[in-house]
Amino acid sequence: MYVGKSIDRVDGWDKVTGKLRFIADYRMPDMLYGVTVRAPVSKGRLKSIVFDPKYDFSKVVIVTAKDIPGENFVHIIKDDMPCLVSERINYLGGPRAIKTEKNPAVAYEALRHIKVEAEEETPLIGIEEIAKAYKREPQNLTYFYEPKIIKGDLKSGFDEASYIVEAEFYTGFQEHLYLEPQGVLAYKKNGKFHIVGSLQCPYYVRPAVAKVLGVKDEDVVVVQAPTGGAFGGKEDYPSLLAAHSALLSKKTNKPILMVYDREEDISFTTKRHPSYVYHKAGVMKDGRLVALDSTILFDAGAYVTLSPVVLSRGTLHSCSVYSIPNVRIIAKAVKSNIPPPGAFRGFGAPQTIFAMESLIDTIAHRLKLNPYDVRRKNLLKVGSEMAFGQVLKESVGIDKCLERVSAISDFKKKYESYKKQGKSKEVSTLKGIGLATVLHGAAFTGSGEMVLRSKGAIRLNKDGLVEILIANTEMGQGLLTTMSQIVADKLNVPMEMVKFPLPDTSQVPNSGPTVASRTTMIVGRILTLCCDELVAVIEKHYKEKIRIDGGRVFLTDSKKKLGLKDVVRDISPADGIYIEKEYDFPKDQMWDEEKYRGTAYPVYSWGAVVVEVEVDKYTYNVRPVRLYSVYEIGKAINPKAALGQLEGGMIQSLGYGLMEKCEMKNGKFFQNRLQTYIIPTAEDVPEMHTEILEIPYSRGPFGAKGIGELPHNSVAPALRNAVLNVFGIEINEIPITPERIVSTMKNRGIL
Amino acid sequence: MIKRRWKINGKNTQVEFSEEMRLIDVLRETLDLVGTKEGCGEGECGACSVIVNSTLKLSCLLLAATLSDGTEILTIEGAENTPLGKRIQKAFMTANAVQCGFCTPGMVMATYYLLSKVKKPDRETIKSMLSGNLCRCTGYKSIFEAVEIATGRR
Repeated sequence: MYVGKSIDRVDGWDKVTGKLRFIADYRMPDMLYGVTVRAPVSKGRLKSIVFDPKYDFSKVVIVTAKDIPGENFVHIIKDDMPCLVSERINYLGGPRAIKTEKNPAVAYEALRHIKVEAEEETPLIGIEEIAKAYKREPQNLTYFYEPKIIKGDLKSGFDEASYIVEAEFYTGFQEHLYLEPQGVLAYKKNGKFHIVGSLQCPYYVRPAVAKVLGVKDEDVVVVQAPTGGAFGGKEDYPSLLAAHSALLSKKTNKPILMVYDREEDISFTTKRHPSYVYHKAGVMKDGRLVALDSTILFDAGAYVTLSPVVLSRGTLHSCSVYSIPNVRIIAKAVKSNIPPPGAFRGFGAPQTIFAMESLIDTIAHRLKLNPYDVRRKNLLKVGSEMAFGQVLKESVGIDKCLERVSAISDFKKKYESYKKQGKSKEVSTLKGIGLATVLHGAAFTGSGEMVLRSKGAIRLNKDGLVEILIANTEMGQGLLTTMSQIVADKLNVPMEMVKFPLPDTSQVPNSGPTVASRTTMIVGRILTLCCDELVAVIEKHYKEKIRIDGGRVFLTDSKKKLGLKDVVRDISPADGIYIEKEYDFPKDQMWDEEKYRGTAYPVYSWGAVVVEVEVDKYTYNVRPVRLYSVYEIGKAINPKAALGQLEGGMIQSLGYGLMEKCEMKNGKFFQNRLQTYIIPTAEDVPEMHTEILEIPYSRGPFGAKGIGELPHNSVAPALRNAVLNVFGIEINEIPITPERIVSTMKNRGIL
Repeated sequence: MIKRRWKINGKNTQVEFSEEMRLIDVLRETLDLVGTKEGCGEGECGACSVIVNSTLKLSCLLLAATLSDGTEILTIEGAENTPLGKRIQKAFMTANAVQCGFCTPGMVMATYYLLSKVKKPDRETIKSMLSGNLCRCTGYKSIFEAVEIATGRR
């Protein structure tokens, strides 16, 4: 058995020895490098592109919107984002033209001799500006998406409540900062356009490129290159970069490599959506929530891209792990003039969960209750109805997570004792402790999986090896290993007999994108269905029951013993035995998009974290010293890989809450380099104690649920709550930098 | 063009490069030693770390022309052939200190340097010595454990 064991990564050795080639390491004969010319204003009309007459442009090939044979749109959800700007400019840096040279240095040199001129209009920039505009004249804003949730009777809920607690929350941009910048290689071979790149979703890139080139989907082949981290950042953006590379390759008839440097990557690729959340809660004396009225605004940027689905997930997670009888939630994705934000681990949930988890501690603080007790009073359990009508049927582990994390961290006692800590002059370090409880819905939102109809396949090839044929991508999370474990166990063959190449759209069916904490649970299930079918096919051929063991097939009646190779020879010697299955969408999972009600996710994963901090009384530097966490994930297919996901996600959330400041100044990201955009280093991480609980999900492979995004919902609100515990002040905006603490104190007249 | 004789991964190597090239360019473009990664180009991420004359260097900040004849360079490609390098690489596997693998070559080289200077570093020393190498995937804990496994502490 492999499932449940901490197997070493199958791609590990190539990574630790540096042998694995990432896209920037690819070389092809005659390969040229492409770079991008960008729009100079955030909003306006393009006038002209001026080429420096003193510069020799003869060695440079330039592609503009006029060179696009197909449609000038990058298809994501809607066709509104141009591949190359032709007239309207809606964000600073929108790609205007792309060009190519043999040597990347020369290409960048030529870039300096091109000037784009534009007529500028007044842009809308900044979540604070959006919130202001919304409060003043909401009808003047443009919304890409406006979901609304109504449950119970808000008025009677507020009438019943003993207290009303109101608060506003803001969260900023967050950059993915995958260590490997975005990159795509495009070339033509046998009449087809080949795209090889650092990307998450080959079947998103294929139709997007085909549309721009004006060719059939089948004429574009997308192959994933080993991908050096993605976290959502390589979900939608590679479609644009691939289209640019393909256009240059078409015009030059040469392979084109486009790799962003770090500054370009931070400046123009997607970020986490900034958010504004207003909560008004009706609360009973004991902390029970009886009413919640919320407004959620996401800054959606210049084009639709993924914002509707990001906002949807954010909205559906905005009550966090609580059952509230009377609810109204109004949510809007607001159009603005910034580069479109996109998918980032958590996909809208980290923003709204930050607000709700902060609200709970605000309630505890104002009502002088313990945050643990307020949570206990409101927790979801099996049978609870969520705000959007979903009734939880199974695998709800939040009460266990909360119990356990409080026990191992001694939360209740420490919270009360730190609250009372003397502000005596001798102490230079103050202590605090913060709690957050979180959930994450696994798989696509609503009827997404039904629309997607994912297909996965396996092939028993003539060498007697089992090939996994899915479109899902390894970007560090360990998919190559965990999927191989699932298939090896399901077929009872050694893992060495399972092969899982990186996806190539000409070879694998569309098993959907590698996003939404869906792959292990949904595609893993499809693979188990394929394995069952393979056994059925073999049994049908030999007309008797079989047992596979150690790579051999035992026919139970005739007592014959065969190798897997022999089976292929007997059944399908030419191409091997190919089995393809579609995801069997659960019949009882109904989602009504119009009413915005129903089963939003087939199941949820759960978690509770406690962070202990020390704050320097003079510098206000917040140092997380210990981080306890307990997650309930159904089943850990590979415990050490699962721990890696949880620990890594929590440290990203720590960065989000504490230090990853990304401001926009005049339409440009001010922190657009690693020198200024700060992510956690080895010295910033606390001592971590992480535990996994397993309440199996009946439809997950071996009981597994999604896990990838869950931890990113957790640490930022826990840190905020720890700072509240230290100072008794509510800071409702992240990241909580020392400057933010000081300015909040000054605003409240404390300093 | 500049000509130099360096000892790269134990082999005497003659290299020729133009004066503006950084060490990382010579390694990656001239010698096709692409295991050394460029993550930021300004010395912040550590993905380009290599050992030059027994010292840890950021190859993106080092002008190749400043390295004289006889310079000894160890890159990730050579680490596997040293007992310490191989021990570190195995420990990274065991501890699951690798996810996407892009920071890994630099992280392995930084660990190599650390363990060649300090036999059994404590947790604080490990943290401080690896703080110049960014990892966005793991949250670092597994990397600290890998270093400790490589020293025989775990």
